[in-house]
Amino acid sequence: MYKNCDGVTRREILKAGVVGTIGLNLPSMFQLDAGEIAAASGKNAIFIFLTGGQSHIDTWDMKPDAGEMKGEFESIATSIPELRVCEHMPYLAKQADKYAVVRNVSHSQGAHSPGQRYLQTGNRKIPSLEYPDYGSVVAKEHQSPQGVPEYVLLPGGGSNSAIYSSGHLGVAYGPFSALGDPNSKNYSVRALATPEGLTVNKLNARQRLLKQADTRFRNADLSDQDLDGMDKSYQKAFDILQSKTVRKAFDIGSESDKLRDQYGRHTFGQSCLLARRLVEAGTRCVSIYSGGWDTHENNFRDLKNTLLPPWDQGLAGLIADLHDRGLLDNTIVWCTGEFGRTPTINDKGAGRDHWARAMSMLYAGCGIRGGQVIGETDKTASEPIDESYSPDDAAASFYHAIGIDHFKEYHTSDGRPVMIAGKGHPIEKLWG
Amino acid sequence: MRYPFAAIFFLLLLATSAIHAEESRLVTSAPERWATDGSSETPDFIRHVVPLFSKLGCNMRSCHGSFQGKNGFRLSLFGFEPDLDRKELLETDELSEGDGPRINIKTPAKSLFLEKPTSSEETHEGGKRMDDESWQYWILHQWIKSGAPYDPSNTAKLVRLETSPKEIVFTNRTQEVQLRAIAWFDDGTHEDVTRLTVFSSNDEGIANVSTEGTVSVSRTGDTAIIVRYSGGVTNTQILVPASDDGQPFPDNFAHNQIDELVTAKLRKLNIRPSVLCSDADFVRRSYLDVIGALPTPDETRKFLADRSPDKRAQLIDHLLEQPGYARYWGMKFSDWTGNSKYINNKAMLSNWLWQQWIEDKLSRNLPYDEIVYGHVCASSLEGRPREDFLAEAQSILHKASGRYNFDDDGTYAKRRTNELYWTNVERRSPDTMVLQTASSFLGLRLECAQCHNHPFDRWTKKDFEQFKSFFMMVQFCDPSTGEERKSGSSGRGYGVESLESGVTWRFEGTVRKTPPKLLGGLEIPYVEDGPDPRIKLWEWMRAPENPYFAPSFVNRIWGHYFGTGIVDPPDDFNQGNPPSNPQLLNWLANNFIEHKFDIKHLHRLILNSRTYQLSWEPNDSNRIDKKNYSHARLRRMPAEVLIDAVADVTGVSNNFGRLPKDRPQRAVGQAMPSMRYGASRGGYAMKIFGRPDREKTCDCERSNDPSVAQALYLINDQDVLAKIDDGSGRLPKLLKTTEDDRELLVELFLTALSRYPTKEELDLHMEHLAGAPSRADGMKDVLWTLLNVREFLFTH
Repeated sequence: MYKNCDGVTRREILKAGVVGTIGLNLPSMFQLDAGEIAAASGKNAIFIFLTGGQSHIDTWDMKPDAGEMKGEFESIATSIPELRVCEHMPYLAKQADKYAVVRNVSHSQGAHSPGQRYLQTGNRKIPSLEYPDYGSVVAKEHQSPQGVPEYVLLPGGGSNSAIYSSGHLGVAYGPFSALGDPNSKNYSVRALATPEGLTVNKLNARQRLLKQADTRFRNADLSDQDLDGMDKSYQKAFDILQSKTVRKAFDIGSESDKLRDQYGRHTFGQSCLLARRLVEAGTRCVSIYSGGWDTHENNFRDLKNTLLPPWDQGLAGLIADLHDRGLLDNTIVWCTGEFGRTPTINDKGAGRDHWARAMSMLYAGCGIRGGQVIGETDKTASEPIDESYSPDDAAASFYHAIGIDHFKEYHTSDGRPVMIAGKGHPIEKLWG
Repeated sequence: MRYPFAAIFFLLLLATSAIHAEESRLVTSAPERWATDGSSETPDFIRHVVPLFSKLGCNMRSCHGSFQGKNGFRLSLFGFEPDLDRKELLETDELSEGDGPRINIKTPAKSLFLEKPTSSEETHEGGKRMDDESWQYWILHQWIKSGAPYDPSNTAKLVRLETSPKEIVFTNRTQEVQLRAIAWFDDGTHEDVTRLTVFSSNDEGIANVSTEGTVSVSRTGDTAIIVRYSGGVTNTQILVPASDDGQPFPDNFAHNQIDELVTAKLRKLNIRPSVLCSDADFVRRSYLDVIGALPTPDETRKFLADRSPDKRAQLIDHLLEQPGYARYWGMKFSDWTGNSKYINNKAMLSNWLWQQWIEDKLSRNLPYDEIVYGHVCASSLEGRPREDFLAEAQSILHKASGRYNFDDDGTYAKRRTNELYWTNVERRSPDTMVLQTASSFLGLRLECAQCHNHPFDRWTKKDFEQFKSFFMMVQFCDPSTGEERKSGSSGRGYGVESLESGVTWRFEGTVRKTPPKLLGGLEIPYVEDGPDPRIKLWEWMRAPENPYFAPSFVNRIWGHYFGTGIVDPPDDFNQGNPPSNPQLLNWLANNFIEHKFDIKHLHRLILNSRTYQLSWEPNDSNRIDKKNYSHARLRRMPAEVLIDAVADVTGVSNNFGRLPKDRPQRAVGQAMPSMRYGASRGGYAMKIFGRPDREKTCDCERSNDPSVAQALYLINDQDVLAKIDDGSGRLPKLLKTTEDDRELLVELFLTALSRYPTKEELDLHMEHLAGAPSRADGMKDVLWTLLNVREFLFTH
């Protein structure tokens, strides 16, 4: 019913696309530089979000010659000569041939909320519109097998302030949120939990009773979108609850101790393991939100003791395991925070503050060439030298990897045309 | 009629004095004048050439109207900047060197501007837009030949765009009707511009319109054809009546004027309204809609047993006096006005201050315009000496120094104005203040005009900029010291004040350059030491002739009760989105103004109408009607209402942590963003059921859409299951006190569904109980079922 800004309804656009004579072609047809980047092979995604903002200069972009700004850490060699990383990343150092590091991402949103929304959506925050998180877009674009949720959100440990949102796509595309700690002894998922007494048999019995009892609207021959939508949602919910596949995927205890140890016995490591299990089960996007990276104080102490070790082990374990199983061919792993941190060490107590002008990211999978470092920053890691990429580009790369056209346009409930990540262009070198 | 709504769309266009038909001369239409290359007349750039860009689709956003242009050639979006368009045309196309200039005055046919749109996709990505030597071709050809002239000072202005017919009732569905568009100009001429006009249907399921403006219809219903030409927008109403099934329209249907106006439209469409809803439906619906809570089983019993003929009116009066009324509508106001982020680190407090401030006004039933004054003209001093304000601010901040301390004696709530509307951290940008105020109190979405002229309305980027100046003429100060805010400071914890003399303020330079101007109204230049210009803004808003102020509010309230606004979405008044029933909107707005913006009066009026009290059960003639109020729409309960309903039915209270004094543990009226409550304290449920964080200036941020997460929550979440199992809840008590199973089932039905069960339902559940391992176990299943049937989830 509503129109886009051009006064053209979606239907007209589609019609025009078929007829192909008038100039209403989808924007992507004009703008996608086809042929420049190899078509990506991917279909699944694991997005790891380090909320608070991981220090780039203490992890991926070490500057041994930066004097006072260098900080307390030394760098170590990795499995590729081009990359040296922080001494507290020994596991990732060994896997460097399997991932790419992008060091020249830069933006200007130096506060948490706008920075996070930018990096969670690939679009700068604006007051009139809430953009959807990557997982919500994936859930809209890619389907999972029956009974398997398309988008799952897992906890990555640490206090986490990021707000997830399906934005203008609506709550229907929100995540299946598994909030419990997968490292806990009796791990169970809130939505799937079968508390005392509520066995699967019980659930089935209730479903039967509900079906018989839910008659009042059914008998009235109503055509109502919300009513039907609720009916379908219930069907899908029961499918998930009764799905052996999903239950099995979340049964992390069935994984061998050896592999669980490889990922590390902490929330982050076990969430990474769960992510792999979910992708195997057919989930299309798993997002892991790991908090606590906002190291305004005790940057070095916290990175060394609490932040880096689980992250290093879990992420390296994930990449190695995906690789071993051949899943890296069609699964992208993307790890980023909302910004980097100041090269200058503050005097509040050995901390680093927010710094959006330079930040680093990790990408692996879906044909992305591992063992490469893209971009460089100046000698204090303050800003990129020569070219740089925006979070829009980073998001476009993510979507490109899993076969989603980031120029695709949605229409919000009020008819406004919104592209998925319309200002970005995939980072070609990732596939170069 | 004081307020002719139907006419305002035209009046708005009448920036200059009206042109009387008899003084105006009809000129020949463009296709006739330039049918061949024989015409010596020069086409007008604004009147003929630019509209042709729109008609041919050249200046759409996906083509050359894109801000980046397309293949090196850019036109202004929808032709709103003709200067730019002409300049662009006169430039040589650098990207297509060798192809020649865009405009070749000596040999017009060699102009790229003519070659491109007449060629196929091979040479023009947008494909062929017009035929060689067509009238369109000759217009452009002749304009080039005449030297591509454009003189804005000497160009007639469009004063009115008219369509005929204004309304089409399609009694015969195979019929096709040709629309005609006439443009009236200030040079004393008018012209048939049908073939230069862009037509579009607001609902293609009902009516279609061809490029040439021929309307055809497919099914029963009504919609509008939107007609755009040269910046003017108007519409033609299309009505497709249902076929006559021989059943009579119900007599004596109308109870008040609302019903008269609703049925007038229904009669035109041959749609019969449903019957009046049952008392059980009414008691549930009115409780949920007015106070956001289910009636208790006793309240339901009492109402159902009541024999007095005016018991519905009595119930309405009763509900409007409940504390739940102010809490629920305080929540709605918080949504509309954007009670989101905090002013300072006392996040909890400021969200609560705002909510309680609104509740204070609503419970005292202060007039709506006074409440709006409290927002738009908010001031921290409110005329008091600065020391008093500082003392107050300090006292509130002091009280709030703990994590869960509140302004329990209501110091802030009792104030006349709500300064948080201005000092909210998200509002530091005047742009956001404009968007928020336009959305909150005028039902306008000015987002488009922030970057380019509004495609369906007359708002230009300049209108936006000038309106914005009203929101720049304030000063912010630190309540702890009284010091003016330094530029670059974060703005947290600041008060707001109108300008004092001698004070330099942040936007002074901008405002002097861009004097404030009311939307579609006068310029109010800044005068040093003059009165607070925001008062002028407010006076303009509340004036009876303002076409948005009263209509947008009555429309929002109406949209709440019916699920569909008369203008829908309710916060999107624009000329491309006309009201479905202009007479109704007009009458409601006038009545609201006549009753001095009495909010409870408005509620009472709507709630007492037969229209509100119709059944949700459709009849054969109105089944597909969704916007003419022929039957009640099913609406999923809003997040907070649903969360409270689960707590009420199970008899186990929620726990949101410490709340202001005397505040019940109810989700309705909770002030903070959802996730601040934490997942286990209802934050998770609020989130998945679509409670807004109020960070967007759009009513659409609240979502009542269904989702899988919601179903999982109600089927299997620990919140819900624990409430069903809780030993202190309703069910364990009933199991002890009520021995008879049927009696207990009746009680559960009254609690959850506000009605008695049918015999079939009793039998079904008795059968289930017979097969259950224990009575308690079986009853838990029944209670679970009652929380999961759609009849529970939907207001009906």
